[in-house]
Amino acid sequence: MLTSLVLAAVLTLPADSILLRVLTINDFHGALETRGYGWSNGRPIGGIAAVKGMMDSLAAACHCPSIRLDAGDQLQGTLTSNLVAGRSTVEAMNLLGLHAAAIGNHELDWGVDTLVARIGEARYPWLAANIIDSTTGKQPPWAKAFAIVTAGPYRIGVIGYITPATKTIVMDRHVHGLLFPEGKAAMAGALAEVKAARPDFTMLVAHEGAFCDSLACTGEIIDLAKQTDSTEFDLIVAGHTHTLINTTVNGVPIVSARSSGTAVGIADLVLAGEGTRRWRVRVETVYADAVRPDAAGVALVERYRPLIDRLAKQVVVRLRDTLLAERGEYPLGNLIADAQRGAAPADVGLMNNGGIRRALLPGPITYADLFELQPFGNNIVRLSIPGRELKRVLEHSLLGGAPNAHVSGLKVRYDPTRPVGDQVVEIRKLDGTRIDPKRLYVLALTDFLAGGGGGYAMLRQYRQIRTGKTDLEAMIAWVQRLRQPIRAPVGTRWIRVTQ
Amino acid sequence: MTVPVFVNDRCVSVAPGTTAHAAAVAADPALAESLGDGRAHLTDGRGIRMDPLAIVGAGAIIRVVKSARRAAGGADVDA
Repeated sequence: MLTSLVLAAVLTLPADSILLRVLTINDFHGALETRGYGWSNGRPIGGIAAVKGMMDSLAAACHCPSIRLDAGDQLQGTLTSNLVAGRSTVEAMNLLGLHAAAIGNHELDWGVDTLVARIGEARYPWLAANIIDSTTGKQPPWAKAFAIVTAGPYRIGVIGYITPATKTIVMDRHVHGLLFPEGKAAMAGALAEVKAARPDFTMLVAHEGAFCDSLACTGEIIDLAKQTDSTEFDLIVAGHTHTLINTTVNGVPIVSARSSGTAVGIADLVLAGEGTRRWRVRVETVYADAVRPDAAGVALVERYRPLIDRLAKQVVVRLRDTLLAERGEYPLGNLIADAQRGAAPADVGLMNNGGIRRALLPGPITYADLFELQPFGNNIVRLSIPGRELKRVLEHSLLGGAPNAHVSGLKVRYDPTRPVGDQVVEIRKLDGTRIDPKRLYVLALTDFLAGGGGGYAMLRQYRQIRTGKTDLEAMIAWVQRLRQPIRAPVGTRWIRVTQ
Repeated sequence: MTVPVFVNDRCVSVAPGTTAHAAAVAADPALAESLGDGRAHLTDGRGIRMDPLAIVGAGAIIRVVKSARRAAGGADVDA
């Protein structure tokens, strides 16, 4: 009897109803085509046709107003996108029906003029409240701070934010004259304007991220969220770190759906049974074999295929083992550093982890695979620097607490318990000789790093000698010289010690 | 034997050892004409000015950038 009463009560309770559904992506990186990943066990993942199909399905299923937001870094990263400077990806995002996007640091990789052209083609606003023209002290006209978008009965204020690190992680010439102030204060004006417009909700699309484990999330978007609360923002859509974020800080949900269209964030504002409203957030993988692909998305990819096909499918090399792109030191990074040292040629090679963009799976490796590994088109240059400067370079590579760059031609012993800036305790060449602080060594690296990118400002003073090879050309030449199927270099070059 | 090179949104096949300028001519002779009289210049895929005589390899990305938006003065168009 009791059981049937309880059951009846449950059945008469109103089900949670979704008032608003926010569908999110971030760090799409021109991933217009579906592809497999090591973690997907061969299942096809992502691609604009699948992402669009999945978003359409999710929007229809909730029987509620919905909007689609992107947290930046749309354009850079694949042949299909880069060969047309991101135009194909903007077409894809138009197709996706984005309501707003954050400007990510990689949106500036091809210069402001190119970004302005892409913004002109987009049917959605590109937002970043914290881009300032250093001459005028105001926002440049191409960077809007916010937009008010509508979804059913709701007016939603969306503010954009770009990582302040943009100043050091984009080529200097492309961000010259631009400032990227940090934190909530940098958005204060935009927030006031949005609030004055009295929207129903206020959301932040932030190209700034975090890393989460089972205990906590840490990172710049968490720090930013701690400066605000749910009276100011209803939802934060984050990006940049290519991680899955589903957490709440000061009552504000933060969602980030990995990268490259591999996942979609779903943030539902739910009217709970007791009449309260709350956010229910999840991140779902875009399994392309489990959704109905959008026909227009398929057609878009097919339209661009003839442009890339001759090169994209060329098998450059065969790979024996999976090569992951992780944090710290890993074999794929060492392979790239070796390729650059070999291409120069040079005593030492240096490759920043931020420039290594994907893993490689065993089997045939195509030109497109290697392009996506290093899509930036950087040139390999040589610098002659004294051994003491080489130590400073290596110290900078350790600023994050672990190696954030790969080296070739060296064994570096470092002690992370020592003070930052003095953790490198020994540098030896492969023949065992110690690096002489006064002797000049030839360093091979990208012109991005040589120009001070990645925070290697100490290298700007040295004359760059061009090799005439891009990073991709250097890699192709190097791996084709290796015995097939190739395997990555064995062993570590950064040796952690404690004294 | 030829290698594919990308000029603006076109893929052209050129002989190994071809210069950036010659690749631009192969892609669009009319557009390349504007290189000669200073109305345009060449950049690499990143938007950085490149030497027209630079040898381009397979897969090179070249842009012919018209200078109409900014008057002469040598300013980097992407600055």
